[in-house]
Amino acid sequence: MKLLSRLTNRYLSMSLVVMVFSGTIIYFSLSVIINRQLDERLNENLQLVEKRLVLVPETTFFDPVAHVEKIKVNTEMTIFSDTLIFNEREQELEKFRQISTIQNVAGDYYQIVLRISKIESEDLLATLALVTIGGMLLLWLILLLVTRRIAKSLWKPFFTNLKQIEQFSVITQKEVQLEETGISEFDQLNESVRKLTSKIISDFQNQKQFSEDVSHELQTPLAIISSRLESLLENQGLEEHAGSLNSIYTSVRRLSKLNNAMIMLRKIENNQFESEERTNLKGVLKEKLEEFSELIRLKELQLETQLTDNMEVAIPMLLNEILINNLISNSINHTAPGGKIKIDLSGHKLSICNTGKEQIPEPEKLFNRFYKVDPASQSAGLGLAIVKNICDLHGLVIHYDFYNNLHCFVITHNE
Amino acid sequence: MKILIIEDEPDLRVGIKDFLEKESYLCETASNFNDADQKLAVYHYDVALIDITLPGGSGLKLIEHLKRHSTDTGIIIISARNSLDVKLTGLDLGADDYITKPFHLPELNARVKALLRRRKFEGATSVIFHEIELNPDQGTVKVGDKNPELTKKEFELLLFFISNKNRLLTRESIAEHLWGDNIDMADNFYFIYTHINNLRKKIVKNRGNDYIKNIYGIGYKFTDE
Repeated sequence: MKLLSRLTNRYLSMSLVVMVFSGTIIYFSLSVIINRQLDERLNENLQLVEKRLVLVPETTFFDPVAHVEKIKVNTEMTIFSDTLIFNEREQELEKFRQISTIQNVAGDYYQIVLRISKIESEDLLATLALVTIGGMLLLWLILLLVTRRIAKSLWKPFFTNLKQIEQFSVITQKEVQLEETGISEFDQLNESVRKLTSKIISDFQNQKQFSEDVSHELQTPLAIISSRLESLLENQGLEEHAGSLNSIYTSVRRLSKLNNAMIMLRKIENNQFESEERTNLKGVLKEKLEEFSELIRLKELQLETQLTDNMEVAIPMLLNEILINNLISNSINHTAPGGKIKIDLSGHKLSICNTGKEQIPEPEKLFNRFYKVDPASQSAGLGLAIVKNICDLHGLVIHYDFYNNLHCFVITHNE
Repeated sequence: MKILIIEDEPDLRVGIKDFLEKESYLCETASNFNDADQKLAVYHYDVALIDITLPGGSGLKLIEHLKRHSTDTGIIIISARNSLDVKLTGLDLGADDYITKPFHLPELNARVKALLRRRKFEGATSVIFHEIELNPDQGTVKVGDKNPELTKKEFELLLFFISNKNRLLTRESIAEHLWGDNIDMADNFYFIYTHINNLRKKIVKNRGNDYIKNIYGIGYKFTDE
């Protein structure tokens, strides 16, 4: 939920509570005031009636406004109350305020009941309540609109900055350009974000530099070890050690390959091959299939290709070649002799499938670095990680599927 | 044939020198920019192997200098940087080939030979080993008076063998020569084995001698010894 709507909701419910509460208080205090005023008037009327009774004891009064009766009680008492009386003309019950009192007037006890209609005051009360509530509602509505408008303009730089932060990527290495808001909380946030991102960038660069340096520093010693081993292997006098030398040599070569693959992966991640070049998959596929044709024949694999359309991709040529190379060699590697490789290319989809009996145990890890289905494999397990990286960075999506005994890698454009 | 090896890493420099001297090339070395620059200015070399990262300056600069006054020296860049731009810049400046560390010495040897072939004889020459004659430009093979049909890879393999005759070729170096180092083929050795067997059969069938010796578990040697 947006902060603004949450704020509005809170505001709404709070003001509802306040309105109900204050409305009740206003209503009751007004009723009390009105009753007190009516009671005062009733008291004045009572005095008038009493004066009248002293002068003319047999005065007749009109019900229901005044009712006077001589009674034989000798205690005085006064009660104020509300009562309902049926109005014949209007055919409805009307509210009256009444004073019912027993008074000793010139030696006689009278029960005097005086009434005043409350209609007017009720009307007044209703009007007052309506005006109050209406006023409050209006005020509340205006406040709501104003706050929303103000909030929108106040939050605007926040959202602009948020967009900037969202677009931040450690790979592009561009510092976030944040707008000054003039609001200290936001500016504080900006400052923290700025510090954080520049720290991320510098940390990332250090890390990158470090691993690049390591890889490069490794290259030369590895080159020396393997070239020296090559000449040792040739040495006729060392034949009894040939086995050990060879296993050292094989391991060193593996290490160099791994190192090279890591350098490649890092370069792709760092966008060091970045270019505006657009290439197509068809040409590269044809070329690579030609290159691999002997291997495919040697392994007695059936190759089924359907290169109907061309698929254009925003990948530099070098990476395009690596992409196709890794996918095809992966297929050749993992197809048993006599198996089948199927390659389909249409305008928006490339699928490279190979036969296989078993599903991969953890397909979600397939594109992870160093993941190997067969742990004993001599491969470094970086080929598909490189493929995934190339796709991710160049607007393509790759996914893996297993159906009908086919392992399939499908590349599509990222919509 | 005179070769100048410009490489700052002493072990590597000596390794290259030893290997190429066995191929009866005359090798000289330089370990830094100034030394190399002077040698290139004073003497004439058929091939210069140039490392890009050198103490005292960039190898790319050496290529520029070299191209200014001597056009017929073949240039092979040796670089630890497997980077595209260095490669492209180098080739743009006029280098003939590019090899990335760590490389196999037989691979370097094959590149040097190919370069010399292209430079000195304008691509017209064949590579001959006893009864076997290869023409790399036309891709033709002759064994005695017969013309066996070799596949592309078999041809490359045979050329690589003859370029490195009497030398041990490890399976790794053969695999990298045939398929490049980007390839991560688990079945490499099986493929090499089949390729070599097929090649052998084709040569023997055409009454050639089988010069390919198996060095068990390590690789192969192409030799008449």
